[in-house]
Amino acid sequence: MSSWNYRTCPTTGFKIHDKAETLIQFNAVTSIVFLLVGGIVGLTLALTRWQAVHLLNDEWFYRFLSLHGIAMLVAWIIFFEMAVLYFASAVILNTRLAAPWVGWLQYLLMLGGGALVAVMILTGNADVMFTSYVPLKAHHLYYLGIIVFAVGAILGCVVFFATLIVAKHEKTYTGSLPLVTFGAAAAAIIAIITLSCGAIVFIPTWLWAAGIIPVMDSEVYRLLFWGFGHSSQQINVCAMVSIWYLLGTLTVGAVPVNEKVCRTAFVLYILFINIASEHHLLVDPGLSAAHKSWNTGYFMHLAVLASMIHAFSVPAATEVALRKQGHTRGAFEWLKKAPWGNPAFSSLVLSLIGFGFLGGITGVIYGTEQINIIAHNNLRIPGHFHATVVAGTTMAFMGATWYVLPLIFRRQVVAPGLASLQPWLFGGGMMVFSTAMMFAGGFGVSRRSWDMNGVDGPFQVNFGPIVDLSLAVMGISAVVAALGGALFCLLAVATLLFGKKINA
Amino acid sequence: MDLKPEEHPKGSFILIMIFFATFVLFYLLNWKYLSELWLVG
Repeated sequence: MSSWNYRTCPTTGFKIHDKAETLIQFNAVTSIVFLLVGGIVGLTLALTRWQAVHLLNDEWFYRFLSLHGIAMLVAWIIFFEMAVLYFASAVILNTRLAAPWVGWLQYLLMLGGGALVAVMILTGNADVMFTSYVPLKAHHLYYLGIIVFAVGAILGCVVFFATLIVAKHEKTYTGSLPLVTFGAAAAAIIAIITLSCGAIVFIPTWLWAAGIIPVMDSEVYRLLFWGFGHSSQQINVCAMVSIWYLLGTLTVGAVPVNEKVCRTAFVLYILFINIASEHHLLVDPGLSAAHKSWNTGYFMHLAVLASMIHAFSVPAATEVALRKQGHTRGAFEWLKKAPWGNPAFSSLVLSLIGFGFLGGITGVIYGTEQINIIAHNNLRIPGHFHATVVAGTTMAFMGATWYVLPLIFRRQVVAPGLASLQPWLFGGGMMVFSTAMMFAGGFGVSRRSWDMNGVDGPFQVNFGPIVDLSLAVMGISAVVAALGGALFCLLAVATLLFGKKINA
Repeated sequence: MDLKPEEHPKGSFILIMIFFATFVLFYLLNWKYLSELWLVG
């Protein structure tokens, strides 16, 4: 019989398995490295779309756009999610991590795959952007890198589920799974569906790029790609909502008013959220109007309903917790007395606003078949998803980091005053950035385009000064958000290196 | 969860109503944009 080493966290009382802790640390640090890389190239892209600056040439613009998509939408988010899965299973359930060696295999495969993809892009062998739509062809090692990364992430999900079984078998918890773990389980189920789609689409594409398969069907590629490309963002949604509940509990002691309803909402995500991927194909000529309409006009709204439930449940739980502390005057005393100086709390609120108001509303509306015709392929779309993925998910993950540092790395956060400022710089910057982007898109400015005026094309497009203003606001707010992102990375690294050690 | 009357989440309910109103307004605004570009009849 093996023995396992645990320590007890003095703050939360969680029993923490040393091997789970080390894996959480490695995945979290690696995710921040990818965030830094993706953030730096993202800033150069924003400064290129700001026409008055137009920083990069066309070749590096598309190269960096490819890297930005992979580093941010895949590497940063999924590495952090691996840390969340190990935390939500081994730590929250007070158990040991099942098969830590498989966890290390997950880490090494994801690191190797991610690095291979980055090298292929930076060496000019994969200027195909995030979607890599066939017949655009990258070097076959690019596709292999994505496959290896996806296999690693699937192994992480396997370790998560195996840890749940260990916890159940060893009776480390009673009753139902805690809500945060339940949400993480929903994220892991969606992850397995998503990553399987990735494997199904990228394995033949890899063989095609290597010259083994003569032709790839571009229609089938697009359909299956979005089973991976968009669904990977649905893993984020589930993980982000779990983190909302976790942050509510850690910051103000929030408990959901009705946990059964919250659990039902997670089940709705599992059943219907992948269907939302279809909205990428709304102007695709290969699918029938009825097919598009049923998926994005009806079924997708069952996943939207789940988000609506969480959008009420999280603030309501927070409000009830603060009211129980005595802040009961009027409708909003609780909001005034909330712990705004705690960066995790302000990150939670900004993430809710960014995801719900900016990203959620625009996502549902732009995903409507008829309206999509005036939004598809202009800057409204990246404006929408920067609100969901960056102002929403990334903001929530950053908020969680302020607890991961003391609880898992056992270091006191350095410069807490600067840490309090960080969510406002980053979240505020990203919200203005997303809004300005959507505003410019409303005037028809195309997305993913280095030459928006068509100077070198067969015809030229001239936009009014309002578009120049929008793009200038977008560029300036990108700089502000980048400062917030840089401050986050700096404080996280400084805490790891110089933060006061907390003894368990 | 049993809540005393002063613990009911009234503020969150108001915030959610503002959210719904924003949703409806933005939805209508986009249909208006579409109707200007895509004339029917």
